[in-house]
Amino acid sequence: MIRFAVLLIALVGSSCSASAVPAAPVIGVSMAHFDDNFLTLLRVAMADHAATLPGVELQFTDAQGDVGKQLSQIQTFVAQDVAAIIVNAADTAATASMTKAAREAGVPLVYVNRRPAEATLPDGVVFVGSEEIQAGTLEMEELARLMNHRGNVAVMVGELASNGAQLRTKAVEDVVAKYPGMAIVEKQVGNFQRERGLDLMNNWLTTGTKIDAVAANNDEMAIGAIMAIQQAGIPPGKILVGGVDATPDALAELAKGTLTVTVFQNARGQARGAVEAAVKMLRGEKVESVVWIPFELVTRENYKSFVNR
Amino acid sequence: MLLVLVGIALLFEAIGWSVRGASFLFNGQRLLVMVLQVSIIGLLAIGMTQVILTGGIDLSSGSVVALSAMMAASLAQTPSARAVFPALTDLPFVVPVAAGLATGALAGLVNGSLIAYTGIPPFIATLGMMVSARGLARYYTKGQPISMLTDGYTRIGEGARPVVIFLVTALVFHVLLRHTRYGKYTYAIGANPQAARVSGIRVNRHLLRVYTVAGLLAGLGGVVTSARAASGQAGMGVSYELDAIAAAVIGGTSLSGGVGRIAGTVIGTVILGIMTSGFTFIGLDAYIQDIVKGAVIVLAVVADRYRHRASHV
Amino acid sequence: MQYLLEVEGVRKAFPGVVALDGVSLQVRPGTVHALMGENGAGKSTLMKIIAGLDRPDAGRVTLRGRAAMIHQELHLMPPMTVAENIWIGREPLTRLGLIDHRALDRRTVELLAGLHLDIAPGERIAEMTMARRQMVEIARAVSYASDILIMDEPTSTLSEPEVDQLFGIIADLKARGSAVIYITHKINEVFRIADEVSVMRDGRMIGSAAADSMDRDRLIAMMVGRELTQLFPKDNTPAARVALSVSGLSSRGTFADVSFDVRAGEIVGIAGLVGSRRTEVAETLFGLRRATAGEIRIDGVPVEIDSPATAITHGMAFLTEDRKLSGLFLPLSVQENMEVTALSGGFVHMGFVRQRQLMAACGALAATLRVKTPDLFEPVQHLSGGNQQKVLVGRWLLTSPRILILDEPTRGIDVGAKAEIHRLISGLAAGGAAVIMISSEMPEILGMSDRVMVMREGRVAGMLDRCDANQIDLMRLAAN
Repeated sequence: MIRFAVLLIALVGSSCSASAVPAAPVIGVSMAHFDDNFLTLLRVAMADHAATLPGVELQFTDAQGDVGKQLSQIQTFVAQDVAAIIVNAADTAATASMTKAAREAGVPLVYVNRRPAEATLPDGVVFVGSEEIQAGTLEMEELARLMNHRGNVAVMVGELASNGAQLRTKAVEDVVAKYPGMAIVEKQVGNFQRERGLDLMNNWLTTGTKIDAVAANNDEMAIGAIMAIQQAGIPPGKILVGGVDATPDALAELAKGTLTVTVFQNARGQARGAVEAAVKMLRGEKVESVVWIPFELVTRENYKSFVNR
Repeated sequence: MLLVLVGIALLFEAIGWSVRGASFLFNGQRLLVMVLQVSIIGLLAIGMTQVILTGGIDLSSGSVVALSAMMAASLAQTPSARAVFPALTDLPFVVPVAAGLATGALAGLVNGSLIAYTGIPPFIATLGMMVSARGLARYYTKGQPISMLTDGYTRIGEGARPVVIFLVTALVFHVLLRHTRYGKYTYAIGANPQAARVSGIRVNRHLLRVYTVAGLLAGLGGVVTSARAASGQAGMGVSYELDAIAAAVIGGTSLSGGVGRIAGTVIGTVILGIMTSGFTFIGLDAYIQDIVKGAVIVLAVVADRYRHRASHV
Repeated sequence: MQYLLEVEGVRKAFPGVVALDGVSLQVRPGTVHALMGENGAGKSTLMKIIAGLDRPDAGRVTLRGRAAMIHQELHLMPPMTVAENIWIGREPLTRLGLIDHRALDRRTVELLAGLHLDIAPGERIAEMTMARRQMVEIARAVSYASDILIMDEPTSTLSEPEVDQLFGIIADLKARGSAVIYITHKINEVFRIADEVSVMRDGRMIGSAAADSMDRDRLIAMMVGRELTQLFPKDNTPAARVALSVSGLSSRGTFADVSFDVRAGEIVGIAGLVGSRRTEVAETLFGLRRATAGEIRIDGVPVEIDSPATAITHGMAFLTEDRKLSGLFLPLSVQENMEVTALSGGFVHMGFVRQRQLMAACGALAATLRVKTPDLFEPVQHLSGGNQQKVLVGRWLLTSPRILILDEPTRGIDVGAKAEIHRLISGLAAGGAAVIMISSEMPEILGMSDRVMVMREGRVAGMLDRCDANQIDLMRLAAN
């Protein structure tokens, strides 16, 4: 009985103190995945940047790809009275309820990296990221150029529910449609995973269909394709391979000549942009509704400059 | 069950001809790839079969694969990598392999102890391990992937090696379950744990062994998967345990215990492989694939049960 | 008068065996019709067909009314109450569609009172003894307003007063015009309660007649096909060496202060009514239960038996009371059921099992025990109850036990197999084993034992020598 009373007093006391003393502004950040390579870069970059800003504190949560979990995390942030929220959406089609929750509480909201499906965002809600269509276009145009605009293309699609995957794939398809000498001969889902890319490429190679280039939605699948090509004894360069993200592993493959092209998604740029936008908004300053951080094409020629970005 | 396998294979062959105008089955490379892509599931399914034979279940296999992969990969890096342990690079491959196997065995040991000595149902105990192991795998490098692994290590996952590892392991466990005391105890405990106790079998000790072995096999799966992908990632092995259970059940293992064979599990695994390759071959829409896969699993089990019932009264 | 049930020329075959070969039977209303026969004679198959659970390959069954069956193994759900079990699927509902518990209880009380049963509707099956569970099963069958009740070995778990109670219920049923088909191997019961007797052997109906026109020897002859002169052979004298000595054994809350000795070559019977806790004593001796006080000595040396595995290493064996619950591995084969205790010593080399030797040993034992099975690979669940019991006896014999504990070893077994098992037990005793036999059948205990220990409500009520023991004294000690 006494223990219960003490616990009760402690709980009440702690919640009182939280609202009584103004602490350093806390920005709640909900990431779609903690164990995705690119998103980890993004997360670490956000933390690094926040460290350089005095009196700004970031609190990270992992939505584990679960829409429901992410919404709960946003609601918890709101209840905790955070100064601003940054969201890396688990599902870009399901952002409406999060936007609503933040707006109703008057908390500034920044969507980073994955663009919400809503056509226009209300006041106090911004998007900082890169245009996925651009990634696909850059990747495929370069592959097409190196193929002399002629040949068969195999597409490795990321996760079905991923807006980025859908847009990148569409961009690739649009580019191929432009050139009459090119055609898409295979298109399968690889879930952004390296092993799936490996298995897919293995399966495709056994069908004997001529594939001149593989356009993958991300680097991990591209690396999987590269491994399959290597194991099949095909010399590097015979089949062009393209990816997106410019992860360290991908840059290593570029150096070896096995990966043809990748697209740099500026994680640090997006991270900096998102944190800056959040800080500006909680200070009451106005921020553009959409802040574009451009994708950059990475090839054998220029990859070295991307190594530490 | 073999009949079901042949049936499904022929079905894909027929559809393949009409869609692509080429043979699905008569292609040595493809047959190899078919089994290669499910070799890791197969390893897990072997351990799962034993566990199910005792009347239990192991939901933690996939997560243990990830954890073991991370542990092993972190000890298999080359000096050029941003290594997890900068002082421990370029180690001979036996070290990471041992670490991966040990991680798996340890996880299995924890599972087995909880189940045998605290009366927690296997479903709950292994569910807890499933979540904890995954969390630990993520925490290990704060989500960063572990790359740049030594050649000595990645050679394990090269080419057809995973298939060989799978089939050899299957053979070992086939013998173990059929011809050793270990195997007979496993069947007895699943058929009637109380009768097993009365007959002098040390049930708790044996359950501990079975779950540890299952964990060891998941550890092996983690080693092979990270060697094959030349990378250790905390997101590996997701839902592998469900595929492993499917393979075992399709292969004739009864979820109530006491019935099942490794040979059947191998067939079940191959059926899963045929489906995966088959879907890719006929270009089945990705959204439909999972639906069809689920339906095939249920139908395969129903067809098999029906045949069994017909021959007994 | 019209027959309630007419069975004409029924045939039924399963792969490998003809279970019924042109069987005919007539049952009149308001009678008790006893059905006797060895296990495997086809009684259960015939009953299944009558109850509508199976179809004959040929022949006809004409039933005027309904038949309900009360199995040897009760079909009750332990976690639920008496009322829930009886009315499951037919519960009275309120207007909202929920179960009307008041009406449920009321109906149950009416039903049980009508059968003169002292059982409360809210009792949980799990907490009831086998005997009372059986009463519930009977009540359930009666509640279906069946015209024919088929009872399969109903008194196998009942004590004498409970048997009387059952016979009272049967008399009530007769008075209502129902008929009871009473499957049993207990001849004295047949003469007590049956109006008519039919005997089956090897799937055929050997004969049917009015009960009072039959005599004991003729019945046995019809069942077995030969004249039996002695049911319980035992002719050795026990040695002087004490193999097992139990002193002050207690398990708090269950039994207290149990002390007795068993000499090598001796058979000690343990008699007692349901609730005397004989099984619990046996379980404690074998390491399945913990003792809170007392000492066990084997060959004079005090031992700590903490598990069945330990007990087995000391040369003990334990045939449990309920073979389905703690004896048989139902999905496995006869071979796999027998060999499980033999996976050590000569049959196992570095973990690998010497399968061929094991099969030979099991095959030899199965032949000696006359286990009726197509082969050793047959799933044990296809065997009849008696043959299943023989498989379990075989399992223990493989360990060459020095101390054998048997709990109701011939329950639900026909006369022929009973005699075989008795002969085996005597043989083992003659070979120097110390045997403890728990049995609820007075004649069996009196015929087989050198000495009889009577237990009552967890305590030893008395120890009688063979020459001094008779049914009356035993019952007096057990019931007082």
